[in-house]
Amino acid sequence: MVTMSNTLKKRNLFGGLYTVPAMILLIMLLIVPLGYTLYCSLFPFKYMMRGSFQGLNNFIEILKSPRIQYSFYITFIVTFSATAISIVVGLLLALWIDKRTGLFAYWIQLIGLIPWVISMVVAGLLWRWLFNVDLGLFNVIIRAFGWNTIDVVNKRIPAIIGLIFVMSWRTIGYAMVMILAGLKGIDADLIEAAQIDGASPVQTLFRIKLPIIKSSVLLSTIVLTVSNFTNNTVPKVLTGGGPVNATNVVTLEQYNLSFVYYEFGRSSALSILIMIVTILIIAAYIKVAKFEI
Amino acid sequence: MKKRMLIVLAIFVVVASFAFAGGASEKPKTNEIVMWTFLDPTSTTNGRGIALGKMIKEFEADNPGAKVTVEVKNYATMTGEFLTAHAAGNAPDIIWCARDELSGVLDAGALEPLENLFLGEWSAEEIDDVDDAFFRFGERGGKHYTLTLNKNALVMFYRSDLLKAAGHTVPKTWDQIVAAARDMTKTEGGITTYGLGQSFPSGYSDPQLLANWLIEKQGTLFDKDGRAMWANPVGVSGVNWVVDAIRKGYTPESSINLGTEDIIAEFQAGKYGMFIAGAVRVGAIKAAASYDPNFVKVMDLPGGCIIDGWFAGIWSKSKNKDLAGRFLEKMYSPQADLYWINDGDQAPVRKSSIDKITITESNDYLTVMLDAFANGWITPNDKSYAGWKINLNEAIQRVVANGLDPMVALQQTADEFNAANGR
Amino acid sequence: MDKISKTRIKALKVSLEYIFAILFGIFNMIPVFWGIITSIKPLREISRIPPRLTGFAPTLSHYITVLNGPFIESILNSLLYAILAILMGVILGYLAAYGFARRKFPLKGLLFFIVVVGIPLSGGSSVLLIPNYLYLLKLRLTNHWYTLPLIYAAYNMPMAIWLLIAGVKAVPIEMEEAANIDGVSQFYIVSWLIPPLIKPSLAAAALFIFIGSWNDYITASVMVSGNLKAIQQAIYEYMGYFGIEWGRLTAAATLAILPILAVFTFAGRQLVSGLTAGAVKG
Repeated sequence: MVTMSNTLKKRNLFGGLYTVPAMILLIMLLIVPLGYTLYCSLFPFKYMMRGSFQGLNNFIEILKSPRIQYSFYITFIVTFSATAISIVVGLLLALWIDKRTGLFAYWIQLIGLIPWVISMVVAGLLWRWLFNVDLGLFNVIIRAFGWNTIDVVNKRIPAIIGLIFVMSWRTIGYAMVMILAGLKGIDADLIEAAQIDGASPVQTLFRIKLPIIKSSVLLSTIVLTVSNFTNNTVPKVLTGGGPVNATNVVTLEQYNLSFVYYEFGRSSALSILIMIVTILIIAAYIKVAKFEI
Repeated sequence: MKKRMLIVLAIFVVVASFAFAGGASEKPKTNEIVMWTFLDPTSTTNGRGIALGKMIKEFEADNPGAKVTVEVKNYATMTGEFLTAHAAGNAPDIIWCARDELSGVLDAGALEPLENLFLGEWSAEEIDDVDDAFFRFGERGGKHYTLTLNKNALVMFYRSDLLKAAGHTVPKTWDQIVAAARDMTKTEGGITTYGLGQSFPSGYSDPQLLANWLIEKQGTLFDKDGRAMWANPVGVSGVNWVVDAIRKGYTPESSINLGTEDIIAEFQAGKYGMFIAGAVRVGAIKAAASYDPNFVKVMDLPGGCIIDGWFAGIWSKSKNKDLAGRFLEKMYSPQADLYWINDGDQAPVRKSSIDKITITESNDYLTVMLDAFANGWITPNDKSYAGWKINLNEAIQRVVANGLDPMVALQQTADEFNAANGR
Repeated sequence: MDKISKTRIKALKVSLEYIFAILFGIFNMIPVFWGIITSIKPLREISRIPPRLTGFAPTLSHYITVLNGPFIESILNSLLYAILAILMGVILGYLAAYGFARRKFPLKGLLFFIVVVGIPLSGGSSVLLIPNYLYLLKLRLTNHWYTLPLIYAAYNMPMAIWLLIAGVKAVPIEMEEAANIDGVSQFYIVSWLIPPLIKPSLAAAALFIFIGSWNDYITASVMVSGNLKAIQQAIYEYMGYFGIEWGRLTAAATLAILPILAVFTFAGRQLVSGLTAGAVKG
């Protein structure tokens, strides 16, 4: 008995050692630079030259700016819309594919992953081209139906919708594959038992399948939310933040602060803010889904 | 348990040894200089890259033991990386800076005065050969910090066939431009050609006609304190002129968010009679035009063109300043200029090279460029003037898309410019 | 009669499914199709009003130009970086996940918080770009073959750890306790017993790291150059200061998809079988 509890204690002290190698890497390449970013955010850093200590001045400047406020607002809208669409559609697709096996299922997954896997820049550029009023296929098709051309890049609402569309397009396949992995983990016996007990497909879906894949869905949601929120390639390439800043998401502001105005102090502050927001979002998801650590 | 710990420790050691081993083995070699640019000297397809490759070969042959290493960087983030590298104490020996970034680089003290290197030995004649607005742009406090490679002028491209069919000659005044644009705008077979292409994106773009208007009428965009000087009657008339073009239909309404690449692709597809772009793009545009490339021509703008270029300098903390300086000198030599001109299809960097070129129909854009270099406008170099192109574009955006009053829009963007640049 | 109509309905369902699959395929691949078509158009045909899908003389000149450059080299580089990052990320990440899932230890909350903080960075954002660059420059760690694998492993590990924690937790602890009682060493449990049971999570983590490494541009562009270039940098070559070279760009992008398709064709079977094998039974 005494031996058992001794072993247990030892285990728990050394249990942390499992995490050590990973932590070293993370601390070296994530935390230290993050710390440096935090440091930079407390000073003005024009052209990488440190000015005098400013405290939270950079943060206040940023948060006061109506441009940044709108930027966060539109980033939320785009992120949550794109993520929601991807998760819902991905879930439906995963449920559909779950019943299939073999080559068909395999090919659907492959095709589904292609948007996630293509270079974001090239995909964004190609979509922008496809949406071009005169040079793009999209409007050729629209006109063939007899409708008026839709100028996705140059008009406010089409631009926002276009951005949400392309971001969803990119992530639907990923959601499908992730959720499918979760579905495959459901014990087939469980489903059989439920059916023998007389459960309808709908009941099986809502009472058994969905709760079990909760963690897959949650994980996908977190990954996609973070990916969309911090995506600085697709918005830049597809709409450039326009028209008239309609789609000016925070990552574009951050890029401008860094590489147009060379205000590294402010862009660091914005980076910290973005990180805080994403962590809060993740925490909120976890609370809502009652996920345990 | 011991085994487990050993494995954990082993992995840790492996990871850590990467970090330290890598760090320890790096020592800068004394005869190697590193240059950052967006050109690739190993390219077999890019003319300027080929030219650079030749210069490097010759330089290495003339200086036995010397080695020039070019790191090809993304032009948009190159200077940001350089400033970071300068702060880290580990920057390349030669850097190419963009025009809008030079003042910041100089403020950071990242460049070495060329007088300390080779410039002091140049004769008055040689200095005169390179002395122009570009040379003066790289000057501060009596010292010159850069030589300009790859000079560019933002000129008006036009379709000579469409212009002729509209019954016009090359427009020289604002009214003539309007008239030409009006007459070149037509719709045939469901496809509309617009006389004048413009673009006003918030992202990267070439400066547009509003800037030229301001320069022609008041000489500059900024007052003597570096503050934006466009929220005035001149600015208002300029905005009205631009917006008028849209309202009257010679510029498509879908220009609000057009990027530089979009408008170029559209011109290549035949959508416009005229539009502004950097003259360095002539070759590429001609090659990709969907019509006869000989119809692609360039012209000057009223009040002169805005000029731009890449300013090459030596890192102030370089360990190989002399060698690097000599290579910079080499890239700027009369011999190298011929490579830039013939292989790279570029405008000459030296005045003396002009006599060595024959102007034919296919390279007559060079005369316009050279004219622009002599008379063109460039931003002052005493302070940071970041983002003015975006600010001017946004003024137009707000008037066209949001119906804002021109003066209000101009004032807003002027305030934004001043705030962003700390004025 | 009933049997026939049932078969008919089934046939209808199946063909509907195939039609839907085709539509899904088209939807996902539209830009890819457009890119491929553009990549075989002669230069003068690319910018055209209105755009065309056919009616031009296809050419392979763009592909030839791209392949003559350092393109293959950059694909191999990216594969190397991705594989190394996956090895490091999955192994270290799995160990860390085991620690978080199965053990209590001092500072556990803090360390886990560090992992969570790292998740926003997994998306390949440029939040840490400048500080990381500065810091690695000072350590002279940039521009080596191990630069990017280390960074990609670090950037993507938080997410991998998260995925793997969920996987490990799904394995009932009774199994480990039973094995312990049977005299099986802890080492064996961690290295040989659990991994086969969490194949889906391992696969998902590996996939995540792979995509994060393959798709990254901004970090690679700053950290390495020359022979060490990654695939995205090679593609970006065609978006230079002098304009976008559409023909070559689309050719390069098309070629870049091929290795991924290859990986999926060969490793895909493993992935699917891993996904269908399911979790613990009985």
